[in-house]
Amino acid sequence: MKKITRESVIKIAKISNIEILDHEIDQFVNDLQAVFNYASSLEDAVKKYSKPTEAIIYKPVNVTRPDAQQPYPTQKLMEQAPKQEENYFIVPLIIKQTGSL
Amino acid sequence: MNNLAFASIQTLQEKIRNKEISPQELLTFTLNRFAQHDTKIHSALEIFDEQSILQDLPTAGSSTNALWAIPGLVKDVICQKNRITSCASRMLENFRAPYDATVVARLKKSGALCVGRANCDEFAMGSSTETSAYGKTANPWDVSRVPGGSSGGSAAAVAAGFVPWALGSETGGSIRQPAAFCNIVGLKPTYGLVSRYGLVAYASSLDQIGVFTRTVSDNALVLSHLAGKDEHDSTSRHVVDTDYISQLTGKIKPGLRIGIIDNAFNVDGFDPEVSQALENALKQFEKLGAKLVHLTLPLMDYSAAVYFMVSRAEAASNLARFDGVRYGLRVSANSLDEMYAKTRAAGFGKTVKQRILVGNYVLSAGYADDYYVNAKRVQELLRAQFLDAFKEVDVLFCPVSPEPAFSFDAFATNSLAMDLLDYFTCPANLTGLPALALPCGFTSKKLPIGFQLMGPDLSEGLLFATGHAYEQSTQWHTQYPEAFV
Repeated sequence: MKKITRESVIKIAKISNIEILDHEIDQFVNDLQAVFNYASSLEDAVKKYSKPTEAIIYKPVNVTRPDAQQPYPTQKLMEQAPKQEENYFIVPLIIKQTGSL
Repeated sequence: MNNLAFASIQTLQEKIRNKEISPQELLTFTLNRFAQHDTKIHSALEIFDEQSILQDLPTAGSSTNALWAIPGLVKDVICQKNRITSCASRMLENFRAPYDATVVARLKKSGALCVGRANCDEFAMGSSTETSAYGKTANPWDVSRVPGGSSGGSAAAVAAGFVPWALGSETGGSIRQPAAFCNIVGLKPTYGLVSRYGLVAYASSLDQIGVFTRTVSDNALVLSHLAGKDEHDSTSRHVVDTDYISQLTGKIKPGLRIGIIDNAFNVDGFDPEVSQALENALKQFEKLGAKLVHLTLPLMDYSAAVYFMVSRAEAASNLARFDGVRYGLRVSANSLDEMYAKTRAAGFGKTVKQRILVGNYVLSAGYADDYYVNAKRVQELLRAQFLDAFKEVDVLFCPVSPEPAFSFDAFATNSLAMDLLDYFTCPANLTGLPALALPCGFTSKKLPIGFQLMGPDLSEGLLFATGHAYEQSTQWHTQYPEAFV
């Protein structure tokens, strides 16, 4: 059974792009530990019930559509942007310019 | 009693056809019901203005259509063009849908009127409608209790006699559980029967849109207008016959075999009054001529664990798109990473954050094999076990919940305990099978009790016919919450 720690919650929150506050961490540790404790029974289920035929139930199939241009309401979608200019989304600067090229 | 409020779709249609009431009068009546009574239960996040609703009504030439001018409510995770689709979240507080979901487009084409947005758990995550960022919905039968969830607003509005139909969505039981808590009928269709285009995704491999109504025949009628292939949803299925009404004969199929999932009745904490009501329902089916077969589906006991892993993993992936860049909430910050993290911290509620964290754990190295891969294997075995059962029986009978609607905050300090209620409902989502919940009685405190019938893929016609025969032999569906009559 996996042990959930404060450090692992902080790490997973970073991966999830969610800022969590210090006082929230312990609650998440408890909640997540409870979920994973409960889910650890899955290993037993696999051992107990696996059959050689199981793989045939879900056969993935490709679903394609004609490769044709679809109408796209660009203007309408851009209107929803928190910040935009000339059909570009404006976000905080990612690469800082340092000196001249 | 107010006859219009609890009238069936068929009755309303007859009144419109006979010109006893005009579409506008019916709509005004509906909007007044919300204005007068929804302050008690808060089923709707928004009711649209009359003129904008009527704009969508096709011309009177289509008045022969069974849904023409029939008002209904749409869960606020389903896009309605130019209307806000908030998912009951701060994240999408001002988001306006650029298009109609296929289900909404089909209903509008059939003449149905979508009058508003139903409250629900945030991003459809919850079993009580308590996680909505815009306030809780109350159960019309007892306003100190939850209506169930996540589609609680849809269920409450139908139960309270505001509208004869509402759309909900299910990932682990979000239609059937509120239907059972509110004494109405709720269907989770076969995965792929109804298009998900325009449904904000929670766990795409499990999500399915379904219908709430007060009677089985109304449910069959609305589904007839929703079902079928949609080019916009690659998981939607080609279906030949979607006329579910003609199959309602009032009788069960001769020799019908009903499988009773015994292990689902042996769960700890079963309310004795719920047990008794379920027993009575089974006796009623026997009277109708059904043969009862006891069986066990041991893998069902792992279904909640499978559901937690699969749904959270998919949720973490689906909800990654809400980052403040293209639409929805944005919290300003100096760097892009900080903007993402602050936006998602401010936009999502606690339950949504918790499920995203679980999902990203499930998918991360060191966890994926032990949890996600195992969950997917057990999911396949579970489906195989259900399909095997349908070699012996025609439909399966199962509780929806071991207890009636619970009080607000009953699970405030133990969210896992509430999530475990999914045990009864999530097998249908994990296996893709259809399931129909319907009323079968009340507790001594007059709280509704329901049961569910599950069937093989695309057996909606059989479920409706069986449920209809039961319903017509009982009086549960003719009882309405007193405060709204």
